[in-house]
Amino acid sequence: MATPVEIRVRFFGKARELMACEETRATIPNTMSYQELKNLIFHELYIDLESIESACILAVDHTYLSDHSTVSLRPYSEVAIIPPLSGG
Amino acid sequence: MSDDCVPGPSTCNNGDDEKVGELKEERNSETVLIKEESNEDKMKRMNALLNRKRKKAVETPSESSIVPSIDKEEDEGTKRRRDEARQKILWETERAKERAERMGPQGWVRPKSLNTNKEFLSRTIQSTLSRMQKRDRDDKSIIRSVIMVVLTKTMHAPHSLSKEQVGRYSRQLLVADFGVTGQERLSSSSVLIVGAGGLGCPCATYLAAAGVGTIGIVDFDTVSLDNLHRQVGHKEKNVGKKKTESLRDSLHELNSSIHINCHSVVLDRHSALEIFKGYDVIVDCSDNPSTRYLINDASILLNKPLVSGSALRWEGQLTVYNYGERCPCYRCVFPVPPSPHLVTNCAEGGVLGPIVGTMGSLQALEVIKIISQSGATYAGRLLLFDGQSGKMTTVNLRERSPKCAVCGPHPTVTELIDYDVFCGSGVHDKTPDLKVLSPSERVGVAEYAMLRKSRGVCSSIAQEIEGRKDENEGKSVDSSIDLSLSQSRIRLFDTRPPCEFAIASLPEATNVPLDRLKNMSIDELVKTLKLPMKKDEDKDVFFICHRGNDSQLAVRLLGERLTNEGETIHSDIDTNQLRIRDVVGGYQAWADIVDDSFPVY
Repeated sequence: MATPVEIRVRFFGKARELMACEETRATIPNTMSYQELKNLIFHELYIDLESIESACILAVDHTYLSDHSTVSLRPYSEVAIIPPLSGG
Repeated sequence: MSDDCVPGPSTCNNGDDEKVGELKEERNSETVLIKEESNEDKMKRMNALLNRKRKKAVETPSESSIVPSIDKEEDEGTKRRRDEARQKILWETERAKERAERMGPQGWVRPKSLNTNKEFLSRTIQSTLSRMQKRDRDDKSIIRSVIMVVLTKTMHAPHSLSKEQVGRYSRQLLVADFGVTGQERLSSSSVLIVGAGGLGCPCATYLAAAGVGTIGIVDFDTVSLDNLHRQVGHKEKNVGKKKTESLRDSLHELNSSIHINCHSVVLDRHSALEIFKGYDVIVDCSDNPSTRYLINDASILLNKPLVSGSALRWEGQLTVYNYGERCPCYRCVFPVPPSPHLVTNCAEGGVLGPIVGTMGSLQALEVIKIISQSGATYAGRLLLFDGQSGKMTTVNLRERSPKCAVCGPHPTVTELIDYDVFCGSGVHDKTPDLKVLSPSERVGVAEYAMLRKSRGVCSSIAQEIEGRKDENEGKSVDSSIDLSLSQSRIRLFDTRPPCEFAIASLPEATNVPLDRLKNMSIDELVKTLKLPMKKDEDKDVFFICHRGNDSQLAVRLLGERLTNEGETIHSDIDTNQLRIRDVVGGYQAWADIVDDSFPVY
């Protein structure tokens, strides 16, 4: 049974530019599928990031989330939204 | 790369025991070898002598064992020379011992071309014997010479580094887990750096300094003045010169003993494999998604490790791809390229020099670790460097994706493809030109210049102040002069971020950043943009930005908002009467065509 948990959300690269902030907090269910988390982030919580959804990777507590993983969040878990940087 | 390298040094710390063990083993092997090589009596005799002398030399490296004995018939001069030679040899032996002790076990690892101590010593003996036999028939003399050579080579760490190299690289030879072996591997390796820009300059500089044997540089571009704040491998005098040649000259000034290849071409599907195949490690220092996918695919097809770095504004990213069986490639992690209009490049978003400096240096470090076989810290891990907050975050990436189009078990990319098509954008780090508006919704810079002149707007604040001075007939002018007069003559809104507006702007322009514009209510829009309410007011509204992309979006946005919401709220705004246009090409075009004194960036 999923319970709500407060997490930290960190934005990198283009996500930071679009959100105009580096980090924020959100309260979301502590267990869900990767796809559910993705929908929540890109289509509900941060609509501005919808345009970069396909190019972003998500990481929870410094670990990459793969397509079919189940996401488990603890209080203050860190969800990172990471698009690739291309400049050099 | 790993196949032809010497196995890594033992981590064993009891260097002395190990050395003694090795020497004993060598002595036996050399005996065996000579026996095998020659069955003649002469060689047997020599062998026995050699064994006896060699044993003494190793166990007790005393004078008598390592220095030829003095023949009675020799005169005083010869004796003196002998004594001097003996002293010198003893001194060198002591120095060699000290050096070997300081270097530890790694100092004794065989050069790359020789697999074992046995082989090394055998070859030394063989070559010495063959030389000696030709010019000296005296057995004693041959044996003496062999002993001398063997001892000298054994006492001095038998590696392939020259005295000059030992001196030059001494401070990194002293680093544990790198040492002589690491240096030998570095000196015999080849590294390709794609991009001689912000990342490529520091990366190539450190690799050249460290003594990577061959460095290849790929770049089609020339050095420009706005490169120099971060691309520190280039000099002012080289503005306009090819970046490859500029960086090569800079690297050769630093280290003239290495080879540098310039590949001054646009890296594409036709050239990449041919260039890549000559190198051990590939370093991605490029600046656009199209090249990044090309570099990845070429590295996978040729099975080369790829050290990838990138940077923008205050941030940097670093990952090592394709280093080991399970290590992912760029496509495993980022299978879908970002939309071209959502890619911010350095020309647009800016970047700080030390950010690319940090990332390029870290790339060089990963290359050194890969070549010296110390492992790659960021293989399958993504380093996120935030220079503004000083945070470094490492994310553990996935393993190789079974669905990967290039490195998966069923690849769909088996040869290089058209990456400009795949990414929807080219390799040039240039901002794409949007074409959102119809020609009637746009005004060229020349036309705008005439328009504003006809309405009495001066071309610069200086002229404006000068004009006011004349009006006031020499009265003192308030420095905070109000430009509202000129602003009221023509409505020009500048959609750039405040930091860009601060660089330079037209005096009549009001800064309304696009991001702010997007979030305004219709009331705020009408108020901020001072939209004309009265029938006799001028109906022109202009938008300008850096290069003419955001200004088009602003025109489109405002038109839509006014059509959808404006008229219902403000019945006195007649959108059909309003003429909202953008200035084609923005300030860049203004500087190019109208006013060449306008600062470009």
